[in-house]
Amino acid sequence: MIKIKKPSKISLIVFVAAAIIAAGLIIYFFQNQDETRTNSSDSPQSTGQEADTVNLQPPTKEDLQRADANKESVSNRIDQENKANQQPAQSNQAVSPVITFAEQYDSNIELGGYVNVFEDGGTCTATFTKGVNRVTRTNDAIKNVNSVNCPTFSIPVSEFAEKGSWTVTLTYSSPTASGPSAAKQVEVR
Amino acid sequence: MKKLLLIVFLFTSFSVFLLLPKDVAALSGSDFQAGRIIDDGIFFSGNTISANDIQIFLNSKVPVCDTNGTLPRGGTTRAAYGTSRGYPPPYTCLRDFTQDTPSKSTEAGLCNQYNGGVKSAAQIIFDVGIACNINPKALIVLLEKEQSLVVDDWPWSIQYRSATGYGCPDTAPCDAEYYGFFNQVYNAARQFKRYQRDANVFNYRFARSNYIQYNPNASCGGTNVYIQNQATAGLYNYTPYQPNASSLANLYGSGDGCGAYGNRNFWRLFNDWFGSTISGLKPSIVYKGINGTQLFAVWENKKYYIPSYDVMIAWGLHTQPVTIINDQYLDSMETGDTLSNIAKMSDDPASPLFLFDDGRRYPIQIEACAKDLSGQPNPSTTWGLDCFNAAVSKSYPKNFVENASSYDGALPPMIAFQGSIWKMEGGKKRRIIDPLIVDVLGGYKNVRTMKDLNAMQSQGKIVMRNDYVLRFAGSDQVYLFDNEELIRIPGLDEYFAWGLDRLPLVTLPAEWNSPDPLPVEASSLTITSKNGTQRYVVDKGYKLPIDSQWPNTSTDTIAPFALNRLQEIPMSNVQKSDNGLIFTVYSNKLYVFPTMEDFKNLGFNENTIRRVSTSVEHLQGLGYGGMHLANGRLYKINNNPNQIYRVNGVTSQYVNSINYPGLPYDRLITVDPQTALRYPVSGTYSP
Repeated sequence: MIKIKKPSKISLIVFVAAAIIAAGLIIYFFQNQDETRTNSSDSPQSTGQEADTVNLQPPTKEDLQRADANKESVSNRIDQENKANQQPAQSNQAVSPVITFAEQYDSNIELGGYVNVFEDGGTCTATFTKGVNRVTRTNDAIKNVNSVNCPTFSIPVSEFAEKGSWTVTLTYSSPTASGPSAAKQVEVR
Repeated sequence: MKKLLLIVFLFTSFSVFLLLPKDVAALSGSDFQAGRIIDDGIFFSGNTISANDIQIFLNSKVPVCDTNGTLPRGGTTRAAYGTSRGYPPPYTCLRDFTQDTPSKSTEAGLCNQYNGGVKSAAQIIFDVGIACNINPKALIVLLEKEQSLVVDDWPWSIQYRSATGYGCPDTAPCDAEYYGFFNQVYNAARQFKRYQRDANVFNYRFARSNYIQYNPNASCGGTNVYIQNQATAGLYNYTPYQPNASSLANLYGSGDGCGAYGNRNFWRLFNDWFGSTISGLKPSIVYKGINGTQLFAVWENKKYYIPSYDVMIAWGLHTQPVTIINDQYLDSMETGDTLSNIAKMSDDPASPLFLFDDGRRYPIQIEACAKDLSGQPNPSTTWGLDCFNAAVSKSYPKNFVENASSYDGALPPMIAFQGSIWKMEGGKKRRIIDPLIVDVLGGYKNVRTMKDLNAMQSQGKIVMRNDYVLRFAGSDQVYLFDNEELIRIPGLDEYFAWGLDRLPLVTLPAEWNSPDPLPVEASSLTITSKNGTQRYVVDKGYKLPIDSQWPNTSTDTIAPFALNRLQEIPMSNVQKSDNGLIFTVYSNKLYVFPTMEDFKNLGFNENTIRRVSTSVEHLQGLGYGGMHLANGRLYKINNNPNQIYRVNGVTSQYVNSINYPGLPYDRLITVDPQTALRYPVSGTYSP
């Protein structure tokens, strides 16, 4: 009687391992092909510049969460705008300008800042004080994207009566909003 | 079986590892540079992607648009939720969005002509990018950071209305003047150009420290940020907050109550979608006023006039784009020293003087200066630099110098310039003819390429090594180069006598030798030379020492020619005169080989025989020293024909029979007594 030899345990292990590796490599190969395809442009109008760096993967979970959160923001804005439209405009909103820089550059003291309102017709006033000495300048504010910008004040050092540390505040004033910034120190050299 | 399971587990893990997505975003909050969110060269670049590629990108981010709002939302459908908020379906995703857009005229310093028409969102983004020279990728990211319009698969019309957040303050209703997708995209791009053109008007300015809050709530605080470029200043002018630590720690989520995400998200999205916001190059520091003609390097709100293109090259600024800014703003900057190729750091007492070339700086050693510390000319100067001339040698702040240039080693002894390697010596540049000279001077690691400004030294003598025969193009005169001078070679006799046929013969452009020519020896090369009191005649590339009687003239008539060559060429060993005599010369005496058999048996090689030319026939003046006899030679002395001798090394033996077997009696020769004295008898031969 002919006996069929049973495969050994080692042969079985090797066979299973080889099959898993082969399956892994095949999947890996096809996945790579897919990535290659999605990361390249076959556009005839492509400029060719940096096309390879464009990420053509579907949106990530974080992308979708952010979009969802934005819907909430939009919803809130709708409520806010509806409410604002139903209420009379505020006559004198208190604002606090932000000084973004105030320093001596060359022979001028320069100051810049902005105010979190979005309107035309306001003015920005920079007031420098040191003891009884005072230097004041006023500029017309200009609309930026979502705020008003106080165009840079550039004041010759010669207008400052003495050297040393001066205190400056930026004040905004318009028919609907007004208020001063926090004080800031400026060194006049 | 356990082993089997373990192996299966390991290989399964391996396969899963293979299946993991590659290039997982490695962006970290620590990579965020508040002062350099995006470089000018990337941001102000309209032609980085085609309209078609934008469309492909938009399609990829919304694989399926939920046009009818059928997907669930908060226990109901999107359609129902949207309707309750005033925005019922159908929903148009950005990839499918089109709009009839108006034309826009050119505005100086802002945007060029924009041609209106019904266009897709992708085409609008592309066309606005081109018209305003703003990277369309930045506009795409802006749309996403403001309204999530890129990935939103059911956007509401209100999101298009304020697509880039332009004219939409947090604290008040949006401004109808800027409503609409095209209006939003166009005005945003235009505004970034406005920030650039009117940089001195807006509240965040590049090249200076700016206070930037973390949040609209001032109590959240902020920091002073040195904004490095206009694009970053523009982003802060557009969205005036920087991310705080908590926002950066959770880069893909939210931070604490003081977080702000506009600029963080811009940076993160751009990186994730389109690659780095930081170019390989340093941000440009070259600026020009709109109406001005002068270029300046700007650093920390100080401008340094660039007086020439050469100086621009010296600092490597010629590779940087020139940023055009408002003249008034440029004028308002403090003025520093005019840029120079020689400078030190003004705020570092230990700073050496540097030479700047192509963006690199080399510390200058005193020997490279034309004058010494006492102001006296330095004759051994290498580079001949005008180190102590205030009109040339300038000072700049250390951080400016270090940021604008990279450090290199000490000034090199050699430079590469106009296709040649030059040795810097005596304040001149000397063209090196032979690569071996480069090796002698330390090899190519000691060579640096220099641009025009730093290679303006006058051209010195060419540098070459001895043992070169050369001519200059346009002339038939051939020279031997020997110890820094040229010796004319009058003809082929001298050419071969000095063995010059074995030396490289080069033809050089005449102009290489014209500004500072090599000295030429007054007399032409002859076949005689002397080194000190020893006189020589040269022949076939070998030298023969000669005594003072030859060639019957006084010693002074022999000039010391080509001493290096004379030293190089070997002393002649074995010669053969025109009459066939083969001999050696030693101590002014001739020693003759009586036969070729002796010559060979003594171990001499025929190849070593130097044929002596006619002129050397005068060697007759040398004394006679005897013959060279080989071991085993049988000889008689001419004054004693009855005795046969046999050479045995350096002595001789008597041979008392003419019948010893094996002795070469047929080749017996007769010699003179002087030869016999050279092989004194020591014993008798016995077979």
